[in-house]
Amino acid sequence: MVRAAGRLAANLARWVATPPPVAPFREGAFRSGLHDEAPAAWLGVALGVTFTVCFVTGLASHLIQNPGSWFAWPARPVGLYRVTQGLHVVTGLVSIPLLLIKLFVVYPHLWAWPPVRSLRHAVDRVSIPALVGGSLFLLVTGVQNTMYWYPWGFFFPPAHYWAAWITIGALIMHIGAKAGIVRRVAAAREPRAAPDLAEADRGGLTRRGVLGLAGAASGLVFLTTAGTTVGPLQRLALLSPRRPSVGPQGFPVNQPAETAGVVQAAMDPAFVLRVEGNLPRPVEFSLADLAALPQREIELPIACVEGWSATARWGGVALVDLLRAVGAPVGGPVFVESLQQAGLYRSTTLNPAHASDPATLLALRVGGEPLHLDHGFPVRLIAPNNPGVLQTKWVARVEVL
Amino acid sequence: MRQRPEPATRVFWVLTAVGAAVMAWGIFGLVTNAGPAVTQIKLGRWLLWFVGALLVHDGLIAPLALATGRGLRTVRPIVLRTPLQVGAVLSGMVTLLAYPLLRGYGQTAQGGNTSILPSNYWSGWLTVMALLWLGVAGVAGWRLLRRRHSRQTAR
Repeated sequence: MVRAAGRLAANLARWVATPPPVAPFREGAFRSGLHDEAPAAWLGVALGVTFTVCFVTGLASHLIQNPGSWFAWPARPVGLYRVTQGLHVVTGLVSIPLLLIKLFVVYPHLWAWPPVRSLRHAVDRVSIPALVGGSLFLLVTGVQNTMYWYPWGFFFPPAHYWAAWITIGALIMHIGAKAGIVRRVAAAREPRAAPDLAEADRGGLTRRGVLGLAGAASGLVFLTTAGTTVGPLQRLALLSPRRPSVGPQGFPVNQPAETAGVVQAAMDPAFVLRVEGNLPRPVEFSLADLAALPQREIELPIACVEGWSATARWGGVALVDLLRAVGAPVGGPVFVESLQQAGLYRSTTLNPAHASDPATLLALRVGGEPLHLDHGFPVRLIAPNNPGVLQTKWVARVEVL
Repeated sequence: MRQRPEPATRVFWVLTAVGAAVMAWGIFGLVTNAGPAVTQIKLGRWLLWFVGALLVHDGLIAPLALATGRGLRTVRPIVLRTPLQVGAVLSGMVTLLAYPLLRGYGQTAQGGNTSILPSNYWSGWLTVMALLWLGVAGVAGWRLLRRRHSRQTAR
């Protein structure tokens, strides 16, 4: 009995020590010298930077759209959201080649034998699938969302948001596990010689070359997509799902009037904008009434969560002028609601900073013409430094809170 | 790939604890997410995409890249190997990104909105690929010439 148990233990030990006789487990299955800690460390550092940028900018965008009582996004500088969200999307895009090349470099670790060597290695084995799965999930769903391609069957914002927390947690664990390697690689002046492995790579990319290739691939992705937000690169943006100058009146549309179901109500000559809430009595404005109020013209960017942004010259009534005209106090939050009956983005609550900013307009015109129906005719909200989904179109009601 | 054992340092345990707490917050948020049906995460679908991405990468994309790399390491003359590796990786990257645009997957999301996927992505993709392989051919040709030249001078 004891002997049988002993034999079993010995067999088990031998089994654990011997890699399974399947290709990826075999000693020497990965002969390229590119599967090395030096390129893995440098690519890891680069990804650490890009993922941090994505996380911080993504968190900002989340908080702007779901503000807690402690968070108030400012109205100035007017183009800040355009920058943070442009960075979010472009940084995510350039992370794709970095991540794929990094995973190529470290791929043999997936087939390490024995599967768990130590407590420390066991922690790796838990955090790395979360890190890799989370990173791939974020990049894939993020890119799909910029393309308006929604095949998942779940709602993108919370799915992407919570995956980001999981991924960043796994990334922190990973940094704890690999900081020593990065330090060692950074301290090594000369690349370590690996002559037995280098033979397989003769004439091909070196370990340094693979870093150059990762940079080139990121650069190529940047050049062919960043024009969605970086104006001068627009003509190069051959692989961008949006062009900031393409759309009615020269900039893109997210939701057209037809799918919003507002065509009839928006074209109705009897249209009125109702202002109510914290004011002496509700007031209704026809289009002629609105045109009779003081008009302002201002250049403001419109910046979408999907990364595209464009600048336009907007004309209309400043919200503060409207509030003064009806005798409402300026300085509190204001709720703005669309003609649209259903939909997640049919209303916005402007925080005090946005509601009292003189650049926040109930716009009637863009580029000197009446708004196109798809841009929110007859009246749309355009506030400085806010995401496009909060720039309510086809505004029917303003409630002073 | 060589493994060097790493000692479990204090940094390791501190960041493991912090990272695990952050990850737990993410998992908590994920499973407690609620709200109207259209704004829900639907955990099963979420997991499908999370695990699916992992499996597609580790079981398909990475082995394909490794097999391509193995194939390119047998190319002769060997001076062609680097340009071909670079061409293959960049082509793969551009094609991966262009594929959904070429198929026009996003266009059905919002009927009648012509500002979504407004470009001719076939011409865009072909232009990038043509320029890329022109560059690869240029570098390859230059390397071949240099090789011939250095052989002649060696003789």
